[in-house]
Amino acid sequence: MKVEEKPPPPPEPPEPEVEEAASIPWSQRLRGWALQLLAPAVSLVIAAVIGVLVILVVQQSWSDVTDVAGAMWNYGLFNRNSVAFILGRATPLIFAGLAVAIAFKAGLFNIGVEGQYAIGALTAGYVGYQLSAPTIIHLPLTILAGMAGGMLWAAVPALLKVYRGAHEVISTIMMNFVANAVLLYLLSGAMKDPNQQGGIAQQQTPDIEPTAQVGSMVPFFNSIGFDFRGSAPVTWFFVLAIVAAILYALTVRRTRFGYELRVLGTNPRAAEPSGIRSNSMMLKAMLLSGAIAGLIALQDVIGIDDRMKLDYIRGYGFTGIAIALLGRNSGLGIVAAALLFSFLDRASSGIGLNTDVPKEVTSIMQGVIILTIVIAYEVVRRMTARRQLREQHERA
Amino acid sequence: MATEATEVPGGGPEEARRRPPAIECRGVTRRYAGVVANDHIDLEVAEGEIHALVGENGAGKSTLMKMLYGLEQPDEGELLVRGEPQVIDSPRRAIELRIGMVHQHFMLVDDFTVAENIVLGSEPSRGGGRIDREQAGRRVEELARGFGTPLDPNARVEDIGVGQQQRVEILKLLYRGADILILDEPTAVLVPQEVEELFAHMRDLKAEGKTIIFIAHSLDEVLQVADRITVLRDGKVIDTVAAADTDTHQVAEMMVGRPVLLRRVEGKATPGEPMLQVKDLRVVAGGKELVAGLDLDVRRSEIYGLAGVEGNGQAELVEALVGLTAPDTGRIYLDDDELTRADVRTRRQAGLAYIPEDRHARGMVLQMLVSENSVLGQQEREPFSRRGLLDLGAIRRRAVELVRGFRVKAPSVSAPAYALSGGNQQKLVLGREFESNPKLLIAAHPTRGLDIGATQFVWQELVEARDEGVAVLLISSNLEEILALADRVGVIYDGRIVATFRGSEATMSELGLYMTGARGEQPEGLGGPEAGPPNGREPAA
Repeated sequence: MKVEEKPPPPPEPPEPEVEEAASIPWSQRLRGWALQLLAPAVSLVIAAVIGVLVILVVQQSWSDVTDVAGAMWNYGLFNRNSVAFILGRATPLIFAGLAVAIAFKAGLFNIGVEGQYAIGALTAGYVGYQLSAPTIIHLPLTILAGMAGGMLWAAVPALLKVYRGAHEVISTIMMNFVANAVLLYLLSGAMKDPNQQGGIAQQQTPDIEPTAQVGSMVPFFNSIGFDFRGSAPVTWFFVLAIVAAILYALTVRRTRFGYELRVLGTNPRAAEPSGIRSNSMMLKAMLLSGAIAGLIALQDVIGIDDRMKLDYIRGYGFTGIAIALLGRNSGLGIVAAALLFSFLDRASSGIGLNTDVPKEVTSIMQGVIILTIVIAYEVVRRMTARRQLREQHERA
Repeated sequence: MATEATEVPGGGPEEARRRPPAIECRGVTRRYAGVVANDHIDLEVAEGEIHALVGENGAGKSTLMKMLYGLEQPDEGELLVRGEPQVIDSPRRAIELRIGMVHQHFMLVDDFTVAENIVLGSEPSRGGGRIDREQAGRRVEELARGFGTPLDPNARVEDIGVGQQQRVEILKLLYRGADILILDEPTAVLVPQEVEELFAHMRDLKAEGKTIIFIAHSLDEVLQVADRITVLRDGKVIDTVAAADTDTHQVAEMMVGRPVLLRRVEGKATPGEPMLQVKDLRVVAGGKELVAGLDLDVRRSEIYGLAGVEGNGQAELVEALVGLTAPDTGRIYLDDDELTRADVRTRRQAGLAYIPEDRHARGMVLQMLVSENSVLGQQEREPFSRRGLLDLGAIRRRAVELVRGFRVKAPSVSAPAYALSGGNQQKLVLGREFESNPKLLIAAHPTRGLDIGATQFVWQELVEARDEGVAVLLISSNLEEILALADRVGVIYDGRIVATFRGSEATMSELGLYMTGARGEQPEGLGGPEAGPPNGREPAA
């Protein structure tokens, strides 16, 4: 069938026409981007306002507000180690956000990231202290073991979903409880460090072999002009997290897998007639989500520390849901959201150290951001839709 | 005229016409985003008559009915109920005016009994918020006795048949005191026997003095039961005629308004060897054989039109052919490859293109870009993707081709698909499937919802596809479309193909007889692909 009578080298006139049809004018595009940024900006402002109100209500003094703002600014950003802290703390949050987001893309709500990274930390820890091999083999194996552990834990709800129709929200929550039990059982039993002394010893594994450890990024940062303390908690896992975010973004936008994932996630009813194998896609998305989740605690286990401790399972999986939401499931957005949350954590230490205001005010702000961002995105979505509808009428 | 006094009370529309009409529309206009759905509609429905509203999809029938029932408000014009101008701003107001509507999709609570459904919303109370079930049951029985076969008030709605459910809907209206009943395509969901029963009920209701307005597609049905018929086209009233003074041809021509289109589009190519072969296909769901041992073949360079009243197994047949449901028995071959158990992707790779009936929901992803939507279903093909990587440039070029070639009005191919109007979304899906270089194209109601220009364009494309060697299976409830395009026509009834005609020899009235089951299965051996002689049919009346 003819679509147009165009010989292979198209004559001059059609070419610009293609461009015209293919691209949106820059002014419109900029307006679109501005609208996209508007939502997070508005929710940040609202969070700040509510933070101020909370301080005023609790402390009843304006000077506390300025103290808090000063502490957040000075300590949060300009303390000697703040940047290192923010990057280090953002690392697990990026992984957590990506893990949640990739499942989201397929229309699945993986609440089980928490349990998945707990198991991943256990398997990575086990390979880390049990095996002895040169770094070039041991380190990749340890990281892969972490991913495999997360994947294993995600496989159960994924298979239940695909073959039995069990809702993933329920089954992943249940798997979290199981993971928690497994964690306690192994860390106080089979995987417990036998050389620990004392009656109230921590539940932790033996030391990870040095061949399975990931180095600190502090020397690198200091070599380019920073002045972090040697113990500042930033490791090369940060780079891995950034790479993961880039790979994630490319996968979603540029691969057939990502395309099919998005079709399935946004309109499952269109997926089947388009030849997309929904079950297989859901399975893959969930396994990938688990594999990324398996990386979350590795910075703690084989980076900053050199053992797996019970403490390292500390709610990143749930924060990851907020991060994915805030970052709109985009790679860049997730990195930005993770940095923001990490900054707020750091700023809360500053508030605790330098002011009389309870540092929990930053937790309130985090909560408010999560609540308002949902509303703000919806408002922007409607604004965009309305504008497009209007343009459609103008064309008609 | 002088004889009307001798008619049965409440019987003839002639007699009723002396009273103010039950419903009168004066210059009613309703516009949607740039489209005039109803354009200065003048309509009179006399009290005690059965008034049919016919027209093509998108002619404005539903919009008009929604305004009568208070679901939509006219932008201009006046609605009169029993001679009084009224503002019907909600269904509640419509019920107060004793106007009731049965929607095409029933609004019943499956878990409730018949009686509970009927009284729902105005339950007889025993005080203290308790429902007087006995009284409810009695009232429902009284109502039901009035017409038709008895209905068990204590049966649960999910356990009774569709026809009975429809009666429950009608009884609900009567219970609320409605005497103007609006039925939106009441026959679309019924099998022919149930249609007969429904018509009997409608006549009973008319005898009781009720006024019925109903929307219908099948002209034969309309002529059977209606007193008067109003034809809508493109939002305008073309004419209102007495059923006794007209026939299907006249009404059809008024509906379509373009005898040009009724001309057959003859193909240049002659049908070749069978491309799609279906043998003894059965699809069973909910204990019912929806496709009941169906045999079908569609040849290369042939448009095979499948005609039938909706709900006779077309949807299930298509799903089985596309690979969305597994057939219970039977075999499906596409160009010598057996695809009975193959999944959709394998079938698409083997050369299947599919235009889903519900294309906005099943044929595209509205939140994704126009360009991304223009390769949906072909995403694994080169040049759109290579070794798992998308070629965004190639995808965009395809999108631009489709937008231009199929006159899709889009702000840009980088805009989300929801920025396109419904008709343009549809053109995008059609174009995409046409351009997928298929061996077999399954087109389910391809022109439903399109305007006349676009319809003609799609017809042209279907014919061109056929001439290029594609086997086309055209499923349509629009008989004009089938008669205009098909090289062969099969009538599906009750899950089986009961008759096959050469396209040039089929007539609307004869198809109608088979579609409604009025005529049984064609004798064996006729209408096959090789059927040479004129199929032994009597000439059409």
